[in-house]
Amino acid sequence: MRLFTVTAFYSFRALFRWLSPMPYLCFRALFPLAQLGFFALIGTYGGGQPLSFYLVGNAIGTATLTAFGVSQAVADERQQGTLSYLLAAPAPRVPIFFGRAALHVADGMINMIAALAIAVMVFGLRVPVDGIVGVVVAMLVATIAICGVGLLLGAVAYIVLDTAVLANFAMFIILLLSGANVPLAELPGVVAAIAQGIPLTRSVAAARLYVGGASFDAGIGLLLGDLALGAFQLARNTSPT
Amino acid sequence: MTAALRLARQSAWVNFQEVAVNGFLLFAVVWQPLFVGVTTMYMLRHRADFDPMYVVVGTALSGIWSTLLFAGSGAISHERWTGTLELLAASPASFFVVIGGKLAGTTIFSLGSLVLAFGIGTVLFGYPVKIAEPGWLAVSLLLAVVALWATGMFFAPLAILWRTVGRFLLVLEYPVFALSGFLFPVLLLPNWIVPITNLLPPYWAAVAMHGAASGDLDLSGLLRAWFFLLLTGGVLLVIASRLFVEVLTRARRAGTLALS
Repeated sequence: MRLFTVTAFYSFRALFRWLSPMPYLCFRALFPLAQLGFFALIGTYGGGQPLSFYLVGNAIGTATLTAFGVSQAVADERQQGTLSYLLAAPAPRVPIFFGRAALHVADGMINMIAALAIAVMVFGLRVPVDGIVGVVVAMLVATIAICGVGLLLGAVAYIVLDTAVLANFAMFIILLLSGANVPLAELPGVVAAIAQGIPLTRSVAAARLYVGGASFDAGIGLLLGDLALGAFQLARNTSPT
Repeated sequence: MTAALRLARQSAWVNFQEVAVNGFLLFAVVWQPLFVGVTTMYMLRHRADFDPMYVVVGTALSGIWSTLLFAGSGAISHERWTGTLELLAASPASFFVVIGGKLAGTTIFSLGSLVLAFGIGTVLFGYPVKIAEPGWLAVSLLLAVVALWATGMFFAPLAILWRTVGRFLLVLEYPVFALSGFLFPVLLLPNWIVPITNLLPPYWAAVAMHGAASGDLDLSGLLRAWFFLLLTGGVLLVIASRLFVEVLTRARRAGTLALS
């Protein structure tokens, strides 16, 4: 537990070099908000779906940024020359690597709450009071699922050196295929089937249900699906190689 | 003059070879525009007046902009990290010309986004992509590329003189996509933002290229866009030339040409 906590704290702190808060504000707040505004305005111009479709989709979609932090926390070990020590250490790897994802879950939640607040205050999104708990749970599930992707990318970074490119790939594929911006029904059959394997697909759908006024039970199945997918990716990451 | 051009050409060629195998810039030129283009094509095709060329041009501009933003803001710091800034500062060759050539190579590389954007429209979606004024589009592209290169030159010293600004520059990708009207009209933005967009070279690049591709702008409208494209780009280039001098002066004074 101590190893988990220490790892979580220091890896998160080191990632953004907390001597100055500007990098954090830029990468984890401004970027997702700019992304939300950009796609929401394209959606408005396209007129294919109501504005709330794009606002909810992209508010949940800001979770994809979490994958950068998680994968980078792992990849930075290599860049700083500490990866070999980490792997050779007798400390168990699960708390070490899960610890690196832990604070990113909280951070991803903050990102999404900020994005949702902008969606409500700037774009006039209406979230029914009954749906707030559901939306928050959808956000939590989305962040956990994306952390699974981040750790998977971190593991792939043992082989592929450029983690930033990997995380960018993951982000755009998820934004395209999760239904955040394009309804799954409009995608070609094979691509729509692949989309079902994307973490976030169900969280986005569940959040839309809750914003639309559905009961909490209505989205539970969807959220459990994304949670299972995230857990599967976490398990793949921690399996012996 | 001839020597400067030869230097710029050599710098451009060396940098072109370097960026052509750089994973991150390849992503910015190829994969990111692919995702942006495909997503936007799906999002805009419901419009009654949908013109695939609008998405093609906007996607190409997004790729060019992203590439120059990342390459520009790291152009000088990359030299410092690779240990060549000292050599460049001590060399009799103009530092401004060397970095200018370097970014010119990146700019040429970024044009791959344009080819890719046409591919998205024609091959992936099967739209017949029609250019209303091919000649005017070519002129607009040329001037747009020059102005965006100038913007990259402005970012290069800025990112190294003020590190906080340098970090902020990296998140200017989406805001500039939005403020410049690459993929939706800036009239969708709040009224108070619209005058700010007029100060940005990417905005005039989008006006000129969208206008020439769709035929919505007549020659006088295009001439106006070209004028402001060159004016905004020119102003940034003049400021950049002053900042380049300041970079070397400060680095020499503080002894920070090298990292160690």
